[in-house]
Amino acid sequence: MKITGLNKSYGDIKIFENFSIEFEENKTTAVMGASGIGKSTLLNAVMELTPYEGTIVKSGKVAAVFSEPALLKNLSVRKNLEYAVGHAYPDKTELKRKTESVLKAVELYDRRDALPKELSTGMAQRVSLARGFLLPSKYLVMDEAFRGLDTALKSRLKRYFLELAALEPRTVLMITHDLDEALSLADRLVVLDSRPARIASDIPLLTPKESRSPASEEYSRAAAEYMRCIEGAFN
Amino acid sequence: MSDKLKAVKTFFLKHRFITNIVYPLIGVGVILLVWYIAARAVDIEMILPSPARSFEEFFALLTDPDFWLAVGNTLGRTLFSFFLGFAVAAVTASLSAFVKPVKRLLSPIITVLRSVPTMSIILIAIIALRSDESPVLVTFLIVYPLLHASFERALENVDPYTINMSKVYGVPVYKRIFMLYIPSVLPDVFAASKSNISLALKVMIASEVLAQTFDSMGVNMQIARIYLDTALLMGWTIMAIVLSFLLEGVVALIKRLTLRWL
Repeated sequence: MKITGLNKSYGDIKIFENFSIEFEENKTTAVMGASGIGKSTLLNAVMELTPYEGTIVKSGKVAAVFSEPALLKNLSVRKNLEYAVGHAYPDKTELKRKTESVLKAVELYDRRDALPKELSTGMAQRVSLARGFLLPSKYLVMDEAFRGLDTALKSRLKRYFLELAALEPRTVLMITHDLDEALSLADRLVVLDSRPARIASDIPLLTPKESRSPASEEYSRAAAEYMRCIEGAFN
Repeated sequence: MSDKLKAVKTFFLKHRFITNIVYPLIGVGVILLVWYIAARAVDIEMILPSPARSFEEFFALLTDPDFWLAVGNTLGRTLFSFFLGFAVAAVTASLSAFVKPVKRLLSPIITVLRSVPTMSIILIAIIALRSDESPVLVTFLIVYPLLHASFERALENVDPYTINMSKVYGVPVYKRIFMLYIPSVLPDVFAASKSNISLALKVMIASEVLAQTFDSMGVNMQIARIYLDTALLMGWTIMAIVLSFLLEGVVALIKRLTLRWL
């Protein structure tokens, strides 16, 4: 995905001015930065949920995981998945097989007939994550997908994410305020600062995800760099 | 004593249908008792007839074919005006929820319609239209803005995350309408319909009184009033209340069936 010359303002406030960035295929990029810097605006532009000037070149569909599960409350888990992605599968047996496999990956296959109100917050968010990988898309956008979840739940969801990403590779664009989340899931960390937004830091994360630890040198270097950018965000 | 109370409580909890019947019956009983005491205190049938006299008139009315003609006419006009208001409100509320300029254009019109006194609308309509047409227009003009506002609010309350998700995933529009929007707004639509359908009946009868609509409940009430036959007037009133209950009951039944089907 390639974003070139992105311009976006809210009234007199210029969020992006001639902003450009490229995302490598099947890699996960975590976009971080202070609140209000333009992270969500960037994702909304990618998802075509907001008008913008400039070009965003995509070679496939975009799926999304929001900070809310966004499930239809009168439909079961399976029906919710079918509602969102059914149109993208002309072959219904293929849809059934894929639905089964993503639900098994997030350990919710047994709850496929449950209604959203019968699920816990964590379970509902797992359905939302499964849905993100079920749409036959090239890109997955995650807008603070693990926000408001406790640490234990977050770490389980991160494991599910890595499992699904291995099963169905995607170019992932995630925004988060949780550095630990970014450093354990992403292949690249982009920190935005200033107004209009600019890339303050672009940090590749090369250590394989399964062997990452907060004790590693790469981790502490990335963390220090992130802190430096955040402190001077709007200067 | 407390054990006995507990036993009574568990009995009522176990037999919900009894609770559902007993409480309304007590309510009706209280109204009848107050009415009876008031009638005894006044002791002039022309001013306030007793419940027994009024029900006597009501049951006598049930055997009169002209009564059913009037009830049928009033009910038919009420349903027609209500559904006209419902249909127009569904269209305009959808337009204003999705097309912002339409919302800006409609919102002052709706506000004006909601604040015009019912009586002004009735009096103007009587001058302009035939006696069987003006009650329809009046009822429509009263229920339409209320339904429009309820429908619009219901549409605006649909979960924005689910709407955005549907857009991003490219869910076909027909699927969004039938699986997301309609099920989300239905509870509010039923709630608004239930309260507005009995309002429609009341407004219809009031305008029939003033428009002197031929063969209608309103005009029959007006005739009873002219002859100072208050017991007969109460008989018609009982029918209006029964109709109102029936209409609300039908809406509740449709709601139950529809929500089960979803």
